[in-house]
This record gives sequence, C-alpha cells and structure tokens, in this order.
Amino acid sequence: MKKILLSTILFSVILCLVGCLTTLHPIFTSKDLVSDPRLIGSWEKAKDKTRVIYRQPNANEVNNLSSALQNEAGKIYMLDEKEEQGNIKTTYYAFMVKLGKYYYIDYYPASEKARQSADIFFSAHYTPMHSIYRIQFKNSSSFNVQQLDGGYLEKLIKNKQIRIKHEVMEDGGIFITAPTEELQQYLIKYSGVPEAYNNDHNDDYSKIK
Amino acid sequence: MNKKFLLVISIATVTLLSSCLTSLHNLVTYKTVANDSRITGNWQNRNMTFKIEPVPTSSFFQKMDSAKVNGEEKKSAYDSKEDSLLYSNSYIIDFIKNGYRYYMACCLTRIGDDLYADIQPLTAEPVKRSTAGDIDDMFSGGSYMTTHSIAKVIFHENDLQLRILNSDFIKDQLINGRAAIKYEKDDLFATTIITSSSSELRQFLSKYGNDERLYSPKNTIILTKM
Repeated sequence: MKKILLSTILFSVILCLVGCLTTLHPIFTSKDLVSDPRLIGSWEKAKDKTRVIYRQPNANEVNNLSSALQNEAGKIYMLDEKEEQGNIKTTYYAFMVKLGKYYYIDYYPASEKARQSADIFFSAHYTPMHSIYRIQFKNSSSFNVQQLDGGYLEKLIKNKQIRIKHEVMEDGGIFITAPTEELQQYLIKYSGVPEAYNNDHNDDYSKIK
Repeated sequence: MNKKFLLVISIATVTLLSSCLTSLHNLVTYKTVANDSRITGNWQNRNMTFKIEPVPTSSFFQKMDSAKVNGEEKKSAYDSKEDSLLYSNSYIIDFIKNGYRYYMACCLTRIGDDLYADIQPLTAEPVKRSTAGDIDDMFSGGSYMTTHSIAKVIFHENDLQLRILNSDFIKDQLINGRAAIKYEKDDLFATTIITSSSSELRQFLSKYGNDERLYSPKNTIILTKM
C-alpha cells in the first residue's frame, strides 16, 4: 500500500527522508538570526542552470509570521524557486543563522496562493517542516549550499550513537522532534563530519548580473 | 436544510483550519481497523457531494492500482501484509471543490461502544487538468508532513456526523498539563501536533472519548445521505 496510497499520502515526507534533514522545530530562535546582504539577488545553479531569487519578504509575508519573527523582519529572506518557463514554482522563508564556524539556512514553506485556495480541512493536514542546509559564500557573487543528510542522522539514531528527540513512524522512518537547542548542538558537533552532509545536494550558485 | 443551518455549517467549515489539531500517528492500525458499511455512499454538505467508498473498490484505488512505475505494471497494490489489512478495510473520501478533486483516506476503529475515524489527506488534482495548475505542487514543492485528524463517528437517521476533536479544548488542556497526551508545540511558527502513539491515542479516547468538552459544533461536519 505504501508504494501507491502511502507514497501519495506521504509524498513530500518521502522526498525529505531520502535526503534532506527536515525537522519539526526550527534550528534558531528569533535572537539567533543573522543577515547577509550578499544573499539578495538572482542566482543560477551551476549544475542545471536553474534560477532562484533571494529577496526581502513583502508585508504580507512578514504578517504571516509570529510577532517574535516580525520583530526580526530585516533578517528574514524569501527564496523563490523558478520553473524553466520563468514562473515561480515554490517560495520558502529562508532563515540564516551562524552556529559554531558555519552559517546555516533553515528553509520553511511559505503559504502560496494555490495553497490558500485549497480546501481548508484538507490543507490543515499538512504540517510545514524545516529543511536544513549549510551555506558558504565564496565571494560576493558565488556561494555553495549543501543539504544536511537526514539519512545520516537516522542512522546515528538507529545505531544508538546519538540521543536526540524523535518519533518512530509506522513504517520505521524517523521524525525529528528535537527542540532548537538540541538541533543546534547536533549541527555544531557534526559540522566537520562529511557524512553528515548530502553530496547529491551540494550546489554552487553564481550571481546573475 | 434551512438558511440558519447552512450558515452554521459554513462557519464550521471555515473555522476548521484555525482550530484543527492533528496527530502525527494514525489512530488506527491493522490490528484495530473496523468496517462499517453505513459510512459508504454519497453524502451532501451544503452544495458539496462527498463520495465514500471502500478502498479496494474505489475509483481512486483502481486508478492507482493500474498505474505504472518506470513502465512496469505493479505486482501488488500493497507494500506489506499490515498495510493490506489496514487499507483494504478502510475508505476513500472523495469530493470536488473549486475545480479540484480531493481524496482523503478514512480508517475506522471501535473504542468501547463508539466508532472513531482517522482521516488523512491522499491527494488533490484539478478536475480539468488542462485548465488548472497541479495542486500537488503546493505541498510536494515544499517540505510538509502529512498528519491525521481524529473524529467520533455518529450515525443519526440520514445524517453522518464527523465530530472532530475540539482542538481549542485539547490545546488548553495540553498547555495546562491536564491532558495525558504527548504533543510538540513550537511557538515561533505556531505549530502544535499530537505525537502520542496509536495505542496512547486509544487509551486517551477510551478514557475521555465521552467527555462532551472534547467536541464542539464548530468542529463537527454533518453529512446528509443523498
């Protein structure tokens, strides 16, 4: 059943569990947020030439957030992912934070027009999750983002090599429920471990002039 | 239905989002799943029609079952014996709204003398694919976890009542530490989700399931048999 019905039900979850580290809680508190003006602008991914835009949130996007985050609006970015035709495919909030030596971005789905027009009861069953990446600027016109590997953390949990709050799902998958502090400790402790990152999602971006 | 009743139903549906508290885990397992054929058929709420069918004979399942992956016909619709037992005894809720067709899975279980439903989203697709964008993109494009809502099921003459748990009451109990139920709460993003296991959810409902404060008119969906 999972292959058909459940793969449909949990489509987004499966996508995340395969690679990305996704969490229920954010990796930051409002006081942890940092800004970097270099991020603003249009960028092209070296691997497949797809384009993304980082921008400041508009008033509506700020208003959708909690008051604690609204107070830090100047440190919040939006990521617009574009389709080949140039239309915006998906929009995320992008929250940047420095933990230990590195900068990380916590991407969080932004409510879109299509979602807002969907049936309310149906939509209420989808809980937005935080997707965690590390970002490293090479210079003002290029940066690298690398996905944290959810599979690596899952392996650590299953091998009892780490204590981090989680739920075991019916299919044996792991759902990370660790609070922000635990997540930050994990990121700092494993920042230098190459296996903690997903090499399939290790992308260089160049600024489009 | 008179106008006043329509208004109540309308308000109830609109306010469900803000007050919906969902569960990470399914209330129902292959060991506790129950059948009740009274739930099947065509139902109406306002001007919307809800079709409820057993999974194995549903149009959704048959469409999925005949789908191909990598050009090869699937051997089985089920991934495991447990999934087969659970979902072959469950139901598909199918309805159309604003040009989109929604599918949700509904698993029933009996706790004491009461019948409960676990409802989870399956997919939504444009009725006319050529004229609408793919609604799946709004969820599959980002990172979302699909969750479950829990409702007490009551059959009353020609009506089917889905009394979804009153999240306002439960949230209040959780905040005050009065509810014996596991949950996660994130204030920064206003997220609350129940994380109790299936068996813990059953224990909770067997103890408090008949407490009327668990339910409210605004969290009740009334479907009328067509």
